[in-house]
Amino acid sequence: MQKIRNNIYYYLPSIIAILVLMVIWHFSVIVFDVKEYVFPAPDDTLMTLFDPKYRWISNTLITFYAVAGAFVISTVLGIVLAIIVIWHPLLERTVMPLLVLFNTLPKVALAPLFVLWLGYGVVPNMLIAVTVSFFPMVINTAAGLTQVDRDLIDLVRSLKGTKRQIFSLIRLPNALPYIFAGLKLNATLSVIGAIVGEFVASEGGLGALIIIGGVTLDTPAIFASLCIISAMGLALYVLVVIAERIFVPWETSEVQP
Amino acid sequence: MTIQEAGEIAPFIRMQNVRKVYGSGDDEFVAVSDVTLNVQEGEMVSLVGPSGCGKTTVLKILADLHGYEGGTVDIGDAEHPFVPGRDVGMVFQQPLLLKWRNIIDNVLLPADILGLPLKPARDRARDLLKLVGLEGFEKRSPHELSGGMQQRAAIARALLHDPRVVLMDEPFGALDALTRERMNLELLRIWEESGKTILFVTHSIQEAVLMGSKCAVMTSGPARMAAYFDIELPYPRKLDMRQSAEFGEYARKIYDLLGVE
Repeated sequence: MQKIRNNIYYYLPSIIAILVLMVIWHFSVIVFDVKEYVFPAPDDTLMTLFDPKYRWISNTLITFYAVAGAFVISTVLGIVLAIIVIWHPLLERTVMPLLVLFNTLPKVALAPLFVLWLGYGVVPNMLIAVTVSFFPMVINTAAGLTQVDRDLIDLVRSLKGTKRQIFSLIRLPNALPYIFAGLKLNATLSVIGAIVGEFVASEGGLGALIIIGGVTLDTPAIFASLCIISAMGLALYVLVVIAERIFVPWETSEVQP
Repeated sequence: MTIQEAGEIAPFIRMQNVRKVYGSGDDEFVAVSDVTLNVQEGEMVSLVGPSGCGKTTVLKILADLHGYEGGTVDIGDAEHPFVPGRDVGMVFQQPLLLKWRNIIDNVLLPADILGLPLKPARDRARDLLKLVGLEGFEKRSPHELSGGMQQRAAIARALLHDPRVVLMDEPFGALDALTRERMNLELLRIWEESGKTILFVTHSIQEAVLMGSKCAVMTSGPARMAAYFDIELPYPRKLDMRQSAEFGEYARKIYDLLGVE
Protein backbone atom coordinates (compact mmCIF):
# COMPACT_ATOMS: atom_id res chain seq x y z
CA MET A 1 0.00 0.00 0.00
CA GLN A 2 2.80 2.37 1.00
CA LYS A 3 4.63 1.34 -2.17
CA ILE A 4 1.65 2.18 -4.37
CA ARG A 5 1.31 5.57 -2.70
CA ASN A 6 5.01 6.25 -3.22
CA ASN A 7 4.62 5.32 -6.88
CA ILE A 8 1.70 7.71 -7.27
CA TYR A 9 3.63 10.56 -5.65
CA TYR A 10 6.61 9.76 -7.88
CA TYR A 11 4.73 9.76 -11.17
CA LEU A 12 2.08 12.40 -10.36
CA PRO A 13 4.17 15.42 -11.46
CA SER A 14 4.90 13.78 -14.85
CA ILE A 15 1.22 13.02 -15.42
CA ILE A 16 0.18 16.54 -14.42
CA ALA A 17 2.81 18.03 -16.76
CA ILE A 18 1.44 16.03 -19.69
CA LEU A 19 -2.16 17.00 -18.88
CA VAL A 20 -1.22 20.69 -18.54
CA LEU A 21 0.51 20.53 -21.91
CA MET A 22 -2.66 19.03 -23.47
CA VAL A 23 -4.81 21.79 -21.96
CA ILE A 24 -2.44 24.53 -23.20
CA TRP A 25 -2.42 22.88 -26.64
CA HIS A 26 -6.22 22.68 -26.70
CA PHE A 27 -6.85 26.31 -25.74
CA SER A 28 -4.02 27.76 -27.86
CA VAL A 29 -5.58 26.20 -30.94
CA ILE A 30 -8.97 27.71 -30.04
CA VAL A 31 -7.72 31.13 -28.86
CA PHE A 32 -5.39 31.74 -31.82
CA ASP A 33 -7.82 30.13 -34.26
CA VAL A 34 -5.22 27.82 -35.78
CA LYS A 35 -6.38 25.94 -38.90
CA GLU A 36 -6.80 22.19 -38.45
CA TYR A 37 -4.42 21.37 -41.34
CA VAL A 38 -1.70 23.43 -39.66
CA PHE A 39 -2.05 22.28 -36.08
CA PRO A 40 -5.04 20.15 -35.06
CA ALA A 41 -6.44 20.31 -31.52
CA PRO A 42 -5.99 17.28 -29.21
CA ASP A 43 -9.65 16.28 -29.55
CA ASP A 44 -9.43 16.34 -33.39
CA THR A 45 -6.40 14.10 -33.13
CA LEU A 46 -8.24 11.79 -30.76
CA MET A 47 -11.30 11.63 -33.02
CA THR A 48 -9.10 10.71 -35.98
CA LEU A 49 -7.96 7.66 -34.03
CA PHE A 50 -11.55 6.34 -34.19
CA ASP A 51 -11.89 6.90 -37.92
CA PRO A 52 -11.92 3.41 -39.53
CA LYS A 53 -10.72 4.65 -42.94
CA TYR A 54 -7.15 4.84 -41.63
CA ARG A 55 -7.15 1.14 -40.65
CA TRP A 56 -5.22 2.00 -37.50
CA ILE A 57 -4.96 -1.52 -36.16
CA SER A 58 -3.47 -3.09 -39.28
CA ASN A 59 -1.16 -0.13 -39.91
CA THR A 60 0.00 -0.13 -36.29
CA LEU A 61 0.65 -3.88 -36.48
CA ILE A 62 2.74 -3.45 -39.64
CA THR A 63 4.93 -0.90 -37.90
CA PHE A 64 4.96 -2.95 -34.71
CA TYR A 65 6.28 -6.04 -36.54
CA ALA A 66 9.09 -4.01 -38.06
CA VAL A 67 9.96 -2.42 -34.69
CA ALA A 68 9.75 -5.64 -32.68
CA GLY A 69 11.67 -7.62 -35.30
CA ALA A 70 14.37 -4.96 -35.52
CA PHE A 71 14.62 -4.80 -31.73
CA VAL A 72 15.09 -8.56 -31.38
CA ILE A 73 17.50 -8.89 -34.32
CA SER A 74 19.58 -5.92 -33.12
CA THR A 75 19.75 -7.35 -29.61
CA VAL A 76 20.98 -10.76 -30.74
CA LEU A 77 23.25 -9.38 -33.48
CA GLY A 78 24.67 -6.70 -31.19
CA ILE A 79 25.50 -9.10 -28.36
CA VAL A 80 26.97 -11.73 -30.71
CA LEU A 81 29.13 -9.13 -32.52
CA ALA A 82 30.30 -7.72 -29.16
CA ILE A 83 31.35 -11.18 -27.98
CA ILE A 84 33.21 -11.78 -31.27
CA VAL A 85 34.94 -8.41 -31.03
CA ILE A 86 36.16 -8.89 -27.45
CA TRP A 87 37.11 -12.56 -27.79
CA HIS A 88 40.44 -11.93 -29.50
CA PRO A 89 42.50 -8.80 -30.19
CA LEU A 90 42.81 -9.84 -33.85
CA LEU A 91 39.02 -10.01 -34.18
CA GLU A 92 38.76 -6.60 -32.57
CA ARG A 93 41.23 -5.10 -35.04
CA THR A 94 39.46 -6.63 -38.04
CA VAL A 95 35.75 -6.57 -37.19
CA MET A 96 35.59 -3.35 -35.19
CA PRO A 97 36.87 -0.99 -37.94
CA LEU A 98 34.30 -2.46 -40.32
CA LEU A 99 31.52 -1.81 -37.81
CA VAL A 100 32.70 1.74 -37.15
CA LEU A 101 32.96 2.39 -40.88
CA PHE A 102 29.45 1.05 -41.39
CA ASN A 103 28.14 3.18 -38.55
CA THR A 104 29.43 6.37 -40.18
CA LEU A 105 27.06 5.79 -43.10
CA PRO A 106 23.78 7.72 -42.93
CA LYS A 107 21.36 4.80 -42.57
CA VAL A 108 18.52 6.71 -44.26
CA ALA A 109 20.60 6.69 -47.40
CA LEU A 110 20.81 2.90 -47.25
CA ALA A 111 17.04 2.49 -47.22
CA PRO A 112 16.57 2.62 -51.02
CA LEU A 113 19.15 -0.17 -51.36
CA PHE A 114 17.16 -2.47 -49.13
CA VAL A 115 14.01 -1.71 -51.13
CA LEU A 116 15.96 -2.42 -54.32
CA TRP A 117 17.20 -5.76 -52.98
CA LEU A 118 14.16 -6.95 -51.07
CA GLY A 119 11.21 -5.00 -52.44
CA TYR A 120 8.44 -3.49 -50.35
CA GLY A 121 7.28 -5.05 -47.10
CA VAL A 122 7.97 -5.57 -43.47
CA VAL A 123 11.29 -7.42 -43.90
CA PRO A 124 13.22 -4.60 -45.63
CA ASN A 125 11.80 -2.14 -43.07
CA MET A 126 12.95 -4.40 -40.29
CA LEU A 127 16.44 -4.62 -41.74
CA ILE A 128 16.64 -0.86 -42.28
CA ALA A 129 15.69 -0.44 -38.61
CA VAL A 130 18.38 -2.97 -37.65
CA THR A 131 21.05 -0.91 -39.41
CA VAL A 132 19.98 2.05 -37.29
CA SER A 133 19.68 0.28 -33.95
CA PHE A 134 22.29 -2.50 -33.69
CA PHE A 135 25.46 -0.43 -33.30
CA PRO A 136 24.83 0.94 -29.78
CA MET A 137 24.12 -2.65 -28.72
CA VAL A 138 27.58 -3.70 -29.92
CA ILE A 139 29.37 -0.78 -28.29
CA ASN A 140 27.56 -1.04 -24.95
CA THR A 141 27.85 -4.81 -24.70
CA ALA A 142 31.53 -4.76 -25.65
CA ALA A 143 32.19 -2.07 -23.03
CA GLY A 144 30.41 -4.13 -20.37
CA LEU A 145 32.31 -7.29 -21.30
CA THR A 146 35.70 -5.58 -21.15
CA GLN A 147 35.32 -3.14 -18.26
CA VAL A 148 36.27 -5.69 -15.64
CA ASP A 149 38.91 -5.08 -12.97
CA ARG A 150 42.25 -6.65 -14.04
CA ASP A 151 42.70 -8.02 -10.53
CA LEU A 152 39.36 -9.81 -10.75
CA ILE A 153 40.49 -11.56 -13.93
CA ASP A 154 43.76 -12.44 -12.16
CA LEU A 155 41.77 -13.84 -9.25
CA VAL A 156 39.94 -16.25 -11.56
CA ARG A 157 43.15 -17.06 -13.44
CA SER A 158 44.96 -17.78 -10.16
CA LEU A 159 42.32 -20.51 -9.64
CA LYS A 160 43.10 -21.75 -13.15
CA GLY A 161 39.71 -20.59 -14.41
CA THR A 162 39.30 -20.95 -18.17
CA LYS A 163 38.60 -18.15 -20.62
CA ARG A 164 35.07 -19.53 -20.85
CA GLN A 165 34.65 -19.39 -17.06
CA ILE A 166 35.94 -15.81 -16.98
CA PHE A 167 33.34 -15.04 -19.61
CA SER A 168 30.35 -16.74 -18.00
CA LEU A 169 31.13 -16.00 -14.34
CA ILE A 170 32.55 -12.48 -14.66
CA ARG A 171 32.32 -10.77 -18.04
CA LEU A 172 28.74 -11.60 -19.00
CA PRO A 173 27.06 -10.68 -15.68
CA ASN A 174 29.28 -7.59 -15.55
CA ALA A 175 27.97 -6.61 -19.00
CA LEU A 176 24.27 -6.93 -18.09
CA PRO A 177 23.76 -3.30 -16.95
CA TYR A 178 25.56 -2.14 -20.09
CA ILE A 179 23.42 -4.42 -22.25
CA PHE A 180 20.30 -2.84 -20.75
CA ALA A 181 21.68 0.64 -21.46
CA GLY A 182 22.10 -0.57 -25.05
CA LEU A 183 18.57 -2.02 -25.09
CA LYS A 184 17.11 1.36 -24.10
CA LEU A 185 18.85 2.99 -27.07
CA ASN A 186 17.90 0.03 -29.24
CA ALA A 187 14.20 0.43 -28.30
CA THR A 188 14.12 4.07 -29.39
CA LEU A 189 16.27 3.60 -32.48
CA SER A 190 14.29 0.58 -33.70
CA VAL A 191 11.16 2.76 -33.80
CA ILE A 192 13.01 5.51 -35.67
CA GLY A 193 14.48 2.98 -38.09
CA ALA A 194 11.14 1.33 -38.83
CA ILE A 195 9.51 4.69 -39.59
CA VAL A 196 12.43 5.65 -41.84
CA GLY A 197 11.95 2.37 -43.67
CA GLU A 198 8.25 3.07 -44.14
CA PHE A 199 8.97 6.56 -45.44
CA VAL A 200 11.01 5.02 -48.23
CA ALA A 201 9.11 1.83 -48.90
CA SER A 202 5.68 2.95 -47.90
CA GLU A 203 3.09 0.36 -48.64
CA GLY A 204 1.62 0.36 -45.16
CA GLY A 205 2.35 1.19 -41.57
CA LEU A 206 2.28 4.41 -39.58
CA GLY A 207 5.22 5.86 -41.53
CA ALA A 208 3.23 5.42 -44.71
CA LEU A 209 0.20 7.12 -43.12
CA ILE A 210 2.39 10.11 -42.22
CA ILE A 211 3.66 10.39 -45.80
CA ILE A 212 0.10 10.16 -47.16
CA GLY A 213 -1.10 12.64 -44.51
CA GLY A 214 1.62 15.08 -45.59
CA VAL A 215 0.61 14.90 -49.22
CA THR A 216 -3.14 15.22 -48.53
CA LEU A 217 -2.80 17.91 -45.81
CA ASP A 218 -4.38 15.43 -43.36
CA THR A 219 -2.57 16.83 -40.35
CA PRO A 220 -4.77 15.13 -37.71
CA ALA A 221 -3.79 11.74 -39.20
CA ILE A 222 -0.10 12.70 -38.91
CA PHE A 223 -0.58 13.70 -35.28
CA ALA A 224 -2.54 10.55 -34.52
CA SER A 225 0.21 8.44 -36.12
CA LEU A 226 2.84 10.27 -34.07
CA CYS A 227 0.88 9.55 -30.89
CA ILE A 228 0.78 5.82 -31.63
CA ILE A 229 4.47 5.75 -32.60
CA SER A 230 5.39 7.55 -29.42
CA ALA A 231 3.23 5.18 -27.34
CA MET A 232 4.89 2.22 -29.06
CA GLY A 233 8.38 3.53 -28.32
CA LEU A 234 7.43 4.27 -24.74
CA ALA A 235 5.91 0.82 -24.23
CA LEU A 236 9.05 -0.88 -25.53
CA TYR A 237 11.22 1.34 -23.34
CA VAL A 238 9.14 0.57 -20.24
CA LEU A 239 9.40 -3.16 -20.99
CA VAL A 240 13.17 -2.81 -21.07
CA VAL A 241 13.17 -0.92 -17.76
CA ILE A 242 10.97 -3.58 -16.11
CA ALA A 243 13.18 -6.38 -17.45
CA GLU A 244 16.21 -4.49 -16.16
CA ARG A 245 14.76 -4.38 -12.65
CA ILE A 246 14.18 -8.12 -12.79
CA PHE A 247 17.49 -9.17 -14.32
CA VAL A 248 19.87 -6.53 -12.96
CA PRO A 249 18.55 -5.94 -9.43
CA TRP A 250 22.06 -5.12 -8.14
CA GLU A 251 22.28 -2.00 -10.31
CA THR A 252 18.71 -0.78 -9.90
CA SER A 253 17.95 -1.70 -6.28
CA GLU A 254 19.00 1.67 -4.89
CA VAL A 255 16.99 3.67 -7.41
CA GLN A 256 13.53 4.77 -6.31
CA PRO A 257 10.80 3.79 -6.74
CA MET B 1 58.78 -34.43 3.38
CA THR B 2 62.38 -34.46 2.31
CA ILE B 3 65.04 -34.13 4.96
CA GLN B 4 67.67 -31.53 4.31
CA GLU B 5 70.89 -30.80 6.16
CA ALA B 6 70.82 -32.21 9.64
CA GLY B 7 67.11 -32.85 10.00
CA GLU B 8 65.98 -29.44 8.84
CA ILE B 9 62.64 -29.43 7.03
CA ALA B 10 62.88 -28.32 3.41
CA PRO B 11 61.07 -24.99 2.94
CA PHE B 12 57.57 -25.14 1.52
CA ILE B 13 58.23 -22.33 -0.95
CA ARG B 14 61.69 -22.05 -2.50
CA MET B 15 62.44 -19.11 -4.79
CA GLN B 16 66.04 -19.00 -5.96
CA ASN B 17 67.48 -15.93 -7.76
CA VAL B 18 64.22 -15.27 -9.55
CA ARG B 19 64.32 -12.63 -12.24
CA LYS B 20 61.34 -11.22 -14.11
CA VAL B 21 61.54 -8.86 -17.06
CA TYR B 22 58.65 -7.19 -18.88
CA GLY B 23 59.00 -6.22 -22.53
CA SER B 24 62.23 -6.62 -24.51
CA GLY B 25 65.06 -4.63 -26.06
CA ASP B 26 64.96 -0.92 -25.25
CA ASP B 27 61.55 -1.23 -23.59
CA GLU B 28 62.88 -3.82 -21.19
CA PHE B 29 61.73 -3.28 -17.64
CA VAL B 30 63.16 -5.35 -14.83
CA ALA B 31 60.28 -6.08 -12.45
CA VAL B 32 62.42 -8.13 -10.05
CA SER B 33 66.08 -8.82 -10.54
CA ASP B 34 67.14 -11.31 -7.86
CA VAL B 35 64.64 -12.69 -5.40
CA THR B 36 65.52 -15.55 -3.11
CA LEU B 37 62.83 -16.48 -0.65
CA ASN B 38 62.32 -19.58 1.45
CA VAL B 39 59.05 -19.94 3.27
CA GLN B 40 58.13 -22.68 5.72
CA GLU B 41 54.62 -24.04 5.76
CA GLY B 42 52.42 -22.05 8.16
CA GLU B 43 54.53 -18.90 8.13
CA MET B 44 53.23 -15.39 7.63
CA VAL B 45 55.75 -13.57 5.48
CA SER B 46 55.39 -9.84 5.02
CA LEU B 47 56.88 -8.37 1.86
CA VAL B 48 57.59 -4.70 2.36
CA GLY B 49 58.96 -2.06 0.02
CA PRO B 50 58.10 1.05 -1.98
CA SER B 51 55.74 0.86 -4.94
CA GLY B 52 57.41 -0.48 -8.05
CA CYS B 53 59.79 -2.75 -6.17
CA GLY B 54 58.22 -5.90 -7.56
CA LYS B 55 56.28 -7.12 -4.52
CA THR B 56 53.19 -7.78 -6.61
CA THR B 57 55.31 -9.48 -9.27
CA VAL B 58 56.60 -11.96 -6.67
CA LEU B 59 53.02 -12.83 -5.71
CA LYS B 60 51.97 -13.21 -9.33
CA ILE B 61 54.89 -15.53 -10.04
CA LEU B 62 53.90 -17.67 -7.04
CA ALA B 63 50.28 -17.66 -8.22
CA ASP B 64 51.50 -18.88 -11.63
CA LEU B 65 49.98 -15.80 -13.29
CA HIS B 66 53.40 -14.85 -14.67
CA GLY B 67 56.36 -16.70 -16.02
CA TYR B 68 59.87 -15.63 -15.06
CA GLU B 69 63.12 -15.26 -16.95
CA GLY B 70 65.67 -16.65 -14.51
CA GLY B 71 66.04 -18.65 -11.34
CA THR B 72 63.82 -21.38 -9.98
CA VAL B 73 60.54 -21.54 -8.11
CA ASP B 74 59.53 -24.69 -6.28
CA ILE B 75 56.54 -25.11 -4.02
CA GLY B 76 55.65 -28.21 -2.05
CA ASP B 77 57.38 -31.56 -2.41
CA ALA B 78 56.92 -34.90 -4.17
CA GLU B 79 54.83 -36.27 -1.34
CA HIS B 80 52.45 -33.34 -1.22
CA PRO B 81 52.74 -31.78 -4.67
CA PHE B 82 51.59 -28.22 -4.97
CA VAL B 83 48.71 -27.77 -7.42
CA PRO B 84 48.57 -24.28 -8.98
CA GLY B 85 44.99 -23.04 -8.85
CA ARG B 86 43.71 -25.52 -6.31
CA ASP B 87 46.36 -24.53 -3.75
CA VAL B 88 46.37 -20.74 -4.21
CA GLY B 89 44.13 -18.18 -2.57
CA MET B 90 44.43 -14.49 -3.42
CA VAL B 91 43.33 -11.26 -1.75
CA PHE B 92 43.78 -7.93 -3.46
CA GLN B 93 43.66 -4.31 -2.34
CA GLN B 94 40.05 -4.07 -3.51
CA PRO B 95 37.59 -6.68 -2.21
CA LEU B 96 36.52 -7.44 -5.82
CA LEU B 97 33.22 -8.94 -4.75
CA LEU B 98 30.77 -9.67 -7.54
CA LYS B 99 27.88 -7.23 -7.29
CA TRP B 100 25.42 -9.78 -8.68
CA ARG B 101 26.12 -12.35 -5.99
CA ASN B 102 25.28 -12.21 -2.31
CA ILE B 103 28.06 -12.63 0.25
CA ILE B 104 27.95 -16.40 0.58
CA ASP B 105 27.80 -16.89 -3.20
CA ASN B 106 30.80 -14.58 -3.53
CA VAL B 107 32.69 -16.72 -1.03
CA LEU B 108 31.67 -19.75 -3.14
CA LEU B 109 33.24 -18.38 -6.34
CA PRO B 110 36.34 -20.62 -6.10
CA ALA B 111 34.03 -23.64 -5.76
CA ASP B 112 32.36 -22.71 -9.06
CA ILE B 113 35.69 -22.26 -10.80
CA LEU B 114 37.31 -25.39 -9.42
CA GLY B 115 34.14 -27.46 -9.72
CA LEU B 116 34.02 -28.43 -6.03
CA PRO B 117 30.95 -30.26 -4.71
CA LEU B 118 28.53 -27.54 -3.69
CA LYS B 119 27.03 -28.92 -0.49
CA PRO B 120 30.28 -29.24 1.52
CA ALA B 121 31.56 -26.00 -0.06
CA ARG B 122 28.48 -24.19 1.21
CA ASP B 123 29.00 -25.54 4.73
CA ARG B 124 32.61 -24.49 4.59
CA ALA B 125 31.66 -21.02 3.32
CA ARG B 126 29.35 -20.65 6.33
CA ASP B 127 32.14 -21.68 8.70
CA LEU B 128 34.57 -19.26 7.05
CA LEU B 129 32.11 -16.38 7.28
CA LYS B 130 31.89 -17.16 10.98
CA LEU B 131 35.69 -17.21 11.16
CA VAL B 132 35.99 -13.76 9.58
CA GLY B 133 33.18 -12.36 11.73
CA LEU B 134 30.47 -12.14 9.07
CA GLU B 135 28.00 -14.60 10.52
CA GLY B 136 24.46 -13.57 9.60
CA PHE B 137 25.56 -11.61 6.51
CA GLU B 138 25.36 -14.61 4.14
CA LYS B 139 22.43 -13.27 2.12
CA ARG B 140 23.45 -9.62 2.06
CA SER B 141 24.60 -7.82 -1.07
CA PRO B 142 28.21 -6.64 -1.15
CA HIS B 143 27.15 -2.97 -1.32
CA GLU B 144 25.36 -3.34 2.02
CA LEU B 145 28.70 -4.06 3.73
CA SER B 146 31.40 -1.61 4.78
CA GLY B 147 34.84 -1.71 3.14
CA GLY B 148 36.34 -3.64 6.03
CA MET B 149 33.52 -6.19 6.00
CA GLN B 150 33.83 -6.62 2.23
CA GLN B 151 37.53 -7.34 2.67
CA ARG B 152 36.68 -9.94 5.35
CA ALA B 153 34.43 -11.63 2.79
CA ALA B 154 37.29 -11.52 0.28
CA ILE B 155 39.53 -13.27 2.83
CA ALA B 156 36.86 -15.94 3.39
CA ARG B 157 36.68 -16.41 -0.39
CA ALA B 158 40.46 -16.85 -0.57
CA LEU B 159 40.25 -19.63 2.05
CA LEU B 160 37.21 -21.48 0.63
CA HIS B 161 39.06 -24.13 -1.37
CA ASP B 162 41.47 -24.70 1.53
CA PRO B 163 44.51 -23.49 -0.42
CA ARG B 164 47.98 -24.21 0.95
CA VAL B 165 49.20 -20.68 0.34
CA VAL B 166 47.32 -17.39 0.55
CA LEU B 167 48.76 -14.44 -1.35
CA MET B 168 47.68 -11.00 -0.17
CA ASP B 169 48.49 -7.89 -2.18
CA GLU B 170 48.13 -4.89 0.13
CA PRO B 171 44.84 -6.29 1.40
CA PHE B 172 44.13 -3.41 3.78
CA GLY B 173 45.63 -0.60 1.68
CA ALA B 174 42.23 0.84 0.79
CA LEU B 175 40.88 0.89 4.34
CA ASP B 176 40.90 3.76 6.83
CA ALA B 177 43.58 3.64 9.54
CA LEU B 178 41.34 2.39 12.37
CA THR B 179 39.68 -0.34 10.31
CA ARG B 180 43.08 -1.31 9.02
CA GLU B 181 44.47 -1.86 12.53
CA ARG B 182 41.46 -3.93 13.47
CA MET B 183 41.82 -5.99 10.29
CA ASN B 184 45.52 -6.56 11.07
CA LEU B 185 44.60 -8.20 14.37
CA GLU B 186 41.74 -10.10 12.70
CA LEU B 187 44.07 -11.49 10.05
CA LEU B 188 46.60 -12.55 12.69
CA ARG B 189 43.81 -14.41 14.47
CA ILE B 190 42.55 -16.00 11.22
CA TRP B 191 46.11 -17.01 10.36
CA GLU B 192 46.65 -18.64 13.74
CA GLU B 193 43.31 -20.45 13.59
CA SER B 194 43.69 -21.65 10.01
CA GLY B 195 47.42 -22.38 10.05
CA LYS B 196 47.80 -21.16 6.47
CA THR B 197 50.99 -20.05 4.80
CA ILE B 198 50.41 -16.39 4.02
CA LEU B 199 52.45 -13.96 1.95
CA PHE B 200 51.41 -10.46 2.83
CA VAL B 201 52.47 -7.53 0.65
CA THR B 202 52.45 -4.08 2.21
CA HIS B 203 54.17 -0.74 1.87
CA SER B 204 53.68 0.03 5.56
CA ILE B 205 56.75 -0.80 7.64
CA GLN B 206 54.67 -0.89 10.85
CA GLU B 207 52.26 -3.35 9.29
CA ALA B 208 55.11 -5.50 7.99
CA VAL B 209 56.63 -5.84 11.46
CA LEU B 210 53.32 -6.38 13.22
CA MET B 211 52.08 -9.05 10.82
CA GLY B 212 55.14 -11.01 9.77
CA SER B 213 56.73 -14.02 11.37
CA LYS B 214 59.27 -13.33 8.63
CA CYS B 215 59.89 -10.14 6.73
CA ALA B 216 61.21 -9.71 3.20
CA VAL B 217 62.43 -6.20 2.42
CA MET B 218 62.45 -5.22 -1.24
CA THR B 219 63.95 -2.11 -2.80
CA SER B 220 63.27 -0.46 -6.12
CA GLY B 221 65.69 0.71 -8.80
CA PRO B 222 66.82 -1.95 -9.35
CA ALA B 223 63.98 -4.04 -7.95
CA ARG B 224 65.59 -6.65 -5.77
CA MET B 225 65.36 -8.25 -2.37
CA ALA B 226 67.45 -6.39 0.19
CA ALA B 227 66.96 -8.61 3.23
CA TYR B 228 64.98 -11.49 4.63
CA PHE B 229 64.83 -12.08 8.37
CA ASP B 230 62.72 -13.47 11.22
CA ILE B 231 60.58 -11.21 13.33
CA GLU B 232 60.74 -12.69 16.79
CA LEU B 233 58.00 -10.77 18.50
CA PRO B 234 55.79 -12.83 20.81
CA TYR B 235 52.31 -14.07 19.96
CA PRO B 236 49.55 -13.10 20.15
CA ARG B 237 50.66 -9.87 18.53
CA LYS B 238 49.07 -6.73 19.94
CA LEU B 239 48.85 -3.18 18.63
CA ASP B 240 50.65 -1.74 21.67
CA MET B 241 53.71 -3.82 20.80
CA ARG B 242 54.43 -1.07 18.34
CA GLN B 243 55.65 1.03 21.25
CA SER B 244 58.13 -1.64 22.40
CA ALA B 245 61.88 -1.29 21.88
CA GLU B 246 62.03 -4.60 19.99
CA PHE B 247 59.38 -3.49 17.51
CA GLY B 248 61.21 -0.18 17.05
CA GLU B 249 64.44 -2.02 16.27
CA TYR B 250 62.79 -4.07 13.52
CA ALA B 251 61.14 -0.97 12.09
CA ARG B 252 64.46 0.91 12.21
CA LYS B 253 66.19 -1.96 10.42
CA ILE B 254 63.64 -1.85 7.59
CA TYR B 255 63.84 1.94 7.39
CA ASP B 256 67.62 1.69 7.03
CA LEU B 257 67.35 -1.01 4.35
CA LEU B 258 64.89 1.08 2.37
CA GLY B 259 67.06 4.19 2.79
CA VAL B 260 64.18 6.13 4.33
CA GLU B 261 65.12 8.84 6.79
